[in-house]
Amino acid sequence: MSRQILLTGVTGALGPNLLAELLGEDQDNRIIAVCRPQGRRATVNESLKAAVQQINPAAEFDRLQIVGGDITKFNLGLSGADVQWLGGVTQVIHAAADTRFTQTAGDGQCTNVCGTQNVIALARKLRNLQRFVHVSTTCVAGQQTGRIPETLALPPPVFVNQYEKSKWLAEQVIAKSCLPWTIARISTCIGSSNGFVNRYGAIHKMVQLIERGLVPMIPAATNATVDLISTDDAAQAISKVVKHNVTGILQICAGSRALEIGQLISTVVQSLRQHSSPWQSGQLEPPLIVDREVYQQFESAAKKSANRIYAEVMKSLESFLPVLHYPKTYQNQRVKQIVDAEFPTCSIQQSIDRVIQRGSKNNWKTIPNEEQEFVHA
Amino acid sequence: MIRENVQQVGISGVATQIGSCTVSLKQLACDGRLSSEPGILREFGFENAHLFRDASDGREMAKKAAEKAIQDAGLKPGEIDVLIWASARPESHIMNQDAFKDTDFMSSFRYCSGWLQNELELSGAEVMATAQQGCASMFAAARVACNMIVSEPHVRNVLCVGFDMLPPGSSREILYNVISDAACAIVLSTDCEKDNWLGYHQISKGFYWDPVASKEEIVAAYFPTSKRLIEQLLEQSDLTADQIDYVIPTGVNRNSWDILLELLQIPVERLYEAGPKFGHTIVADNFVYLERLRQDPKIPDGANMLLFTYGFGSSWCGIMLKH
Repeated sequence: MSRQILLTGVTGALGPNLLAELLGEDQDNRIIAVCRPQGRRATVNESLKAAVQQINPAAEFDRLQIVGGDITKFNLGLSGADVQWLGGVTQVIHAAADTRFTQTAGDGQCTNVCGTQNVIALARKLRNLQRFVHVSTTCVAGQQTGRIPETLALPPPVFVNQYEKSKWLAEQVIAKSCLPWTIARISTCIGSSNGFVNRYGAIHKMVQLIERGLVPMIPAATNATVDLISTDDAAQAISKVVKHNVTGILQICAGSRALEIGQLISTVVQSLRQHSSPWQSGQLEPPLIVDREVYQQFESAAKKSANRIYAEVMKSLESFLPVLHYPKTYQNQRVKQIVDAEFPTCSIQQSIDRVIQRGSKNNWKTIPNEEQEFVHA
Repeated sequence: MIRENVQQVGISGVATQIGSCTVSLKQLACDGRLSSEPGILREFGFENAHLFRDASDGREMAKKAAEKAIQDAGLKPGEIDVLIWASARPESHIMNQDAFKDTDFMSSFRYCSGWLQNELELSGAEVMATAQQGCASMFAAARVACNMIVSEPHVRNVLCVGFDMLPPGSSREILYNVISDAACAIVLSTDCEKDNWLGYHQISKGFYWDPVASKEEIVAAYFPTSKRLIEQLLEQSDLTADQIDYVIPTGVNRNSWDILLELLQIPVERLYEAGPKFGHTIVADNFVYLERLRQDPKIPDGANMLLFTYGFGSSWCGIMLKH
């Protein structure tokens, strides 16, 4: 069946994988990607194309059109004519978001809440719309602990940061939209199974700091888990959501197969010892897993020292505290049914190893950043 | 012939001398000799810096510490079989601290060890030195001393002398620690009845050889490596953390000891830090506390004591003693 898919967030951490999956999955898919207009205009956004080719070297782009737009604007900043032209869109995948844990309430409201409202408003004008897939995050569970169901989190949990809150608010907006909505909550994407990462996030920053031997300790209960999946798995699952017109809320995550913090550190260290020259000397020590009290003592001393590098390490560690202080397991029954297999399908350990191998080799650069290019519809 | 039992070796004498010129943190800050705010350093457990007047004063203090340690061991100078000089700074190994600048390089061979042997009339002593161990220099000397006593039957008493001072007018802060000048001396003897040697362990990591370039990396490596070192030392000594009665610390950042003890699950009450604070004296810290502990009537015989330090270079070292 022919689909015309409007995709936001194509330049984000998940975007190129999603694009590669949608283009490769079905020859009838036509993709209209909305991305913020920056720099030189051309037929194809070369940097996006390069990123997609890192995932699928044989990717063809004749069924892709890139439209300059901005979700923080009414009609995404598109002209009336452009909106008319979008009339054939059958699915919307809204993956654009401000994913910084350090965002302010204003940032979160602007991009994640108002941005979602703007995409909804545009979607209401799409007369052929069959499915609106909102890409959310498992972080909306906030400080809840235990088993997290695949339902709307009501009443709102206590949130650790504005990112969590703004994404929760966005889910509420979606649920009240009267559109044929689906909410796909994604856990942390470590990278593609071949090691490619389009945009490094907090987890990668942490790995880099560990590689440099700058992380002495990580605060966590020893049985705390970190839910990671490969970006391929996330993209594949969303693509199947679109294909099978899946409704409601689903959590695209490792669930009960999430790594315990000790396993994660040992996977990272094992990989660094194989691929990173400082670690090959055998002289760097893995970070210790410590309780909150010990960490707070270290944090307090580090903060007093006013050392710039310790501040960077602390900031990076802080982004993990919610995961580690509020242990939880996400239900992921629905994604298993959709992919008709155990999920995640890719080995997390293997994906971590490849991401580290590639990152360490390329000095943690993704692909050379080229000037953004876009075309108007 | 090798002596059968290392536990026959013990510390028979200890003496230390801390710089007599006391300078407040405020004064040091006014003189531009601190990098951090005095208030922050106070929170890290520092009160003052204690300085020697000059290098000559420092060496005299080393001599005085050595004399007192021999006395404490109940020995006569002639009974010392080996003298080991142990200083962290290269300049502290030679009599003329400016020797490295001299074009007449002969002056750089004016070793403190020979001078001290001559001054104290240690006529029967063989002389050597340990170097390049930073704050762990005295630990290295004690280790060499213990192994010599065990493996060379003619060696019964070894005197280890450490002395370090920073140049006059120099910065007094290293890695958030306020540095004092001090000298220390210990005598290790066979058939010793107190502070017997239970074990020694060292982890050296050349990856951190450059403290100028790797300051933050060293701080980050400090806790994981310290924890591993102490756990390995406990295992070698057939002890558990719970069986440590006293941890004899260095004078570095007090917070770091709280963290380390938490990591090892040793109650903080077991940290022995009696007496006035003296800052971080490079090689002498643990022995200042050990000297105080030996004079403390509350300490029961048979107490297990852990001495731990880190030295630039980089080496993490621990000694286990039974009181």
